[in-house]
Amino acid sequence: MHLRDLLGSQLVAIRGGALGTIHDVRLVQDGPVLGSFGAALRLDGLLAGPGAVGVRFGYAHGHVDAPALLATALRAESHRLLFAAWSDVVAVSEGVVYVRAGTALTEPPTTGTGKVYEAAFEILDRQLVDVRGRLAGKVDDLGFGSTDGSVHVETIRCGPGAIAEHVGGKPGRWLATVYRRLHEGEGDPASVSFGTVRTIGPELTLALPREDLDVMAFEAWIRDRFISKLPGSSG
Amino acid sequence: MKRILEIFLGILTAFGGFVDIGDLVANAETGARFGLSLAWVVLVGVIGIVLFSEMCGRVAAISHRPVFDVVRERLGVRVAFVNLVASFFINFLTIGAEIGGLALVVELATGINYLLWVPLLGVAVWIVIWKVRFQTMEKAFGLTGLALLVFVVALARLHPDWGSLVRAATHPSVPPSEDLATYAFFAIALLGAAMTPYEVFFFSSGAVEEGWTREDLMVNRANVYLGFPLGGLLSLAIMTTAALVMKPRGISVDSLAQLTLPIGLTVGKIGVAFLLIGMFAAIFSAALETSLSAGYTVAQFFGWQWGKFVKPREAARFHAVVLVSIGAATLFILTTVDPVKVTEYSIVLAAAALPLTYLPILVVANDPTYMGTNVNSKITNAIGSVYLVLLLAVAVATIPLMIVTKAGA
Repeated sequence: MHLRDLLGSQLVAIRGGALGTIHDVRLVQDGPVLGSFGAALRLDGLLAGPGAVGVRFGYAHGHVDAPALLATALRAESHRLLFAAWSDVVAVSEGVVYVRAGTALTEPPTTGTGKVYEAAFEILDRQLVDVRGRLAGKVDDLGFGSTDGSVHVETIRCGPGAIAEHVGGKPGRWLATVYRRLHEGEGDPASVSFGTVRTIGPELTLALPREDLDVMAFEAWIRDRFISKLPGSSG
Repeated sequence: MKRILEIFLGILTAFGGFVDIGDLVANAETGARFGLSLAWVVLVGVIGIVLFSEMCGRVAAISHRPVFDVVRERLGVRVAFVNLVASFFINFLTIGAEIGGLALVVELATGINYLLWVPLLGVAVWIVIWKVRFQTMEKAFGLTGLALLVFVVALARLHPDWGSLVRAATHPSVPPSEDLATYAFFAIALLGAAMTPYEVFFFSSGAVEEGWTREDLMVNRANVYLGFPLGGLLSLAIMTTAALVMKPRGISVDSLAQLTLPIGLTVGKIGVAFLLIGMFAAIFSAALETSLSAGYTVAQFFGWQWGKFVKPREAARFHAVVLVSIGAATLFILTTVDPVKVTEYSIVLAAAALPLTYLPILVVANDPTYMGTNVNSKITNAIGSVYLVLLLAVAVATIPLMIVTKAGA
């Protein structure tokens, strides 16, 4: 299961009805130890409601509160963003996540067990920086895995293959086609263990050199076939 | 002392680099057609680019995130991709306009048809990007661009009645020969020329290229608060010169050659030499900035290594995008499209696309998780909100106005 499969899906209660659209996913850092990152990010719950823009900009939960014009307009749009615990989820299918009958959305509870992240707002689409400070791709998606009954973030999915089908429309199909042509027979987009993450901030820093990431294959190809052939490319 | 000299040089670079083919064409054209009745738009545009660039520079210095990183982080992958396609296309037109403009300047200097110069200049732009250090490149062309101050000399030699110029600029009205739609269309063109999005792609990526930190916020403010308004004054000098010399004679500006007329009349041959050198340097600098911006936007959207602060082979995909963009823009101009027309379309579309980049920057400049204590002040936010509304209105009005006025014809 991937983060982008959940985002934008409908949240539906069994024998109840639609509860809203999933706009973000709450992660708590209290999972089993994962590499040098420490405790893994456990999937704590889903954040659903009517509006998406305020969530994405940080107005929904008071991360950002200015300028007043945007804060007022977008808080009204997104003030009903509410929480459903992952433990209430019974099934995930394409575009729909089902929760136990009788589940109602609540205010997000306070958690004392670990640092809390909102995945789409704070982690998704951020820049990856390698151990030597070089740029190494984006957090194009997150991959979840489960152990001991809980679900946590296991991998960062990286490369156009992870976003192509989510861009949508004609440009998305075009991107997906170009990606498939360039990566014939290679299957999935590259994945990096979340255990190699060192810090999460405006960028995610990794404990690896970028040469160790599969996502650099295309960069290497362009470098060796094209850029290195031009005079002065190492100058 | 060295620090002060550096800041001073930075201001002059921002000043000399402010004007590009878009500003030259838009200001001369509106001056010749509308006198000073659109001068207020230059003021609106300069305040806008100052506000926008200061935020971008501050975000880059504090969080080390250039504009297109922020666009993707805040708008999400779907909207950001549409934004990338639109921004890349407009930027592509601008690269073409700058390379074509350069060739026209060389034609004026040599008398040899511009089409011959187009491929040579395309190659020259690429070689400078490939080989010359970022700071050297920026300073050399920015400072030489100051030769355009010849417009200020020309203006002084025309001995205008300053009082009536100020009255004309402060009491704008639609000239009787023009209708309101055309007036509004040219207002948008002037705004787009002053606030072209590539300027902020380049400015914020340049801040990361030069490794700005919190200590460089002073440099950011100096460049933006002094360099850009001086550039705006130069734009006004171009407009006023055209208004004084061309408008009374009923000459409309539809080629760069006509810019030599007011300078030749007032300052003579030496003046024309300065004009050609200034135009060449200013447009060359813009050609470098737009070509790099093509690479910056694509690489920042996908998270690739970008920038001139690493060896070309370390940022292979970035350099490939830059090279292919320059090549394609060169071929586009070789199809004999009129570079001045390309310029006109590029600045108008640039104005329409402004909210796409402006909105995410405004949001992130207020986000303490990126900015810590360096979030926007109340005043910045007040002016920023007014501009958000203004830019949205411009974006909605542009395409209908373009159709109604047949692009200002």
